[in-house]
Amino acid sequence: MNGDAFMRRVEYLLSDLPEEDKRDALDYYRDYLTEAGDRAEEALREFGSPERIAAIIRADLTGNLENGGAFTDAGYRDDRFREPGFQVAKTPEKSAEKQNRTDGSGGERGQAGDGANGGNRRREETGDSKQENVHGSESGRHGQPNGPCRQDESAWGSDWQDQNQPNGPLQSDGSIRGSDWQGQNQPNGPLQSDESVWESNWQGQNQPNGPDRSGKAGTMAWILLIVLAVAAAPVLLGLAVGAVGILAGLFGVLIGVAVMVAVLPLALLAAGAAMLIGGIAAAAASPLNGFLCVGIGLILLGFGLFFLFLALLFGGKFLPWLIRTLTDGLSRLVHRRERMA
Amino acid sequence: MVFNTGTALLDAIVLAAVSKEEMGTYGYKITQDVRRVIDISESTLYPVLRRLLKEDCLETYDMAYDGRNRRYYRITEKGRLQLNLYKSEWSIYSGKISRIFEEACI
Repeated sequence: MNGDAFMRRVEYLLSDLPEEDKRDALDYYRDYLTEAGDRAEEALREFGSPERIAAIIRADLTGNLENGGAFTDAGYRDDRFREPGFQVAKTPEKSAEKQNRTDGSGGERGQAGDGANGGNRRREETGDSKQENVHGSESGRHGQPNGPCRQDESAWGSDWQDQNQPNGPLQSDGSIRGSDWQGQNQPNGPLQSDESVWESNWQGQNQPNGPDRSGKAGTMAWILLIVLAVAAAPVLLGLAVGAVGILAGLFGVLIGVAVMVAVLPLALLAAGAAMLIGGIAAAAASPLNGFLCVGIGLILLGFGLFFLFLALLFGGKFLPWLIRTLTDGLSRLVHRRERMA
Repeated sequence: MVFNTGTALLDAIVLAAVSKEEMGTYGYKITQDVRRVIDISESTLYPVLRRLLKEDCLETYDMAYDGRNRRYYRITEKGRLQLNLYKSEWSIYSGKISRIFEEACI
């Protein structure tokens, strides 16, 4: 913070004081910084914060400064304006001032022993005070952006309201339910007129709240459902894919068995026939090999006939039975209630 | 004893510093002159000068310097009387203290 900004801040802090006195004080400190020239930085550091200078000026003008300082061989100082936490302007009451004075004298006595170190220590203090000053101005700057932030929040709030408006249909659901409820109650009306009046009053009182609540509950339920659906999507997808996979696997096994059952006898028969024909043909050249082939061919034909029998049994008995039990089971599941009835 | 508070001693010191300059002196120079002897904060003297002005121990006048007004402080007759009082009070007071110290056995 340069001298101009510093003094502008002081002026701002004293804006409630009489113009003449304030002008005099501000002129003094401004001139002081000007006279300091190259030393202005150092002087500013010793001034501390604008708040401190403003507090000194204010205390002086309101007559609270008298008899506040203390003298030691380390110099003169007014501990009420010792940063951080100078207090005089914050608590102008006499009692507070007295307390400060006694605290101050105690502090001075403690300092008196240091003697030559006093100067150095003061430099450190002023250094600290400058840090505090910087911090203060930063917090001030932080304070300003809060304005727009709040505006944003309010804008957000209106958006939220806009978002709520499309929920109208849900609210209307609530009101429909309410009218149903009224419809149900109407038959009771004629029985006891007093009660019906009371009920209608009660309904009248509840109507403003009812639709809102059901609307909010509805939106909440929908939101929850969507969230749940999104969250559970991987699990549900996995389960569905798994079930489809199991069904497809079973179907594949069934087809495989059917093919096996149908193809195996045909293959055995074909191979047996081929061996038989080949064996007969080869018997002329080498009787032993030919007879072996004919034998194997006959065995294969036998196995082929056996499996053909099994296949016919499988196709004619087992498959129809399987299909029947499956369809029966499904129809039983679907039509259970009808059967129960 | 007038030096029961720091304020009185500070008033006396400032009066003494200003009295040295026949044509008067200005705030920054007073502060630096005093600081050469005693450690005071750069912001200390404005209330003191204001008080002394109010008590008519000092007077001010503005004079152009380096293209701007510089406010000069000059001691008044009342200020000289007051300074004289302070001086005599101080010599009595410090004399008593000094005598006690001189008589002390170390």
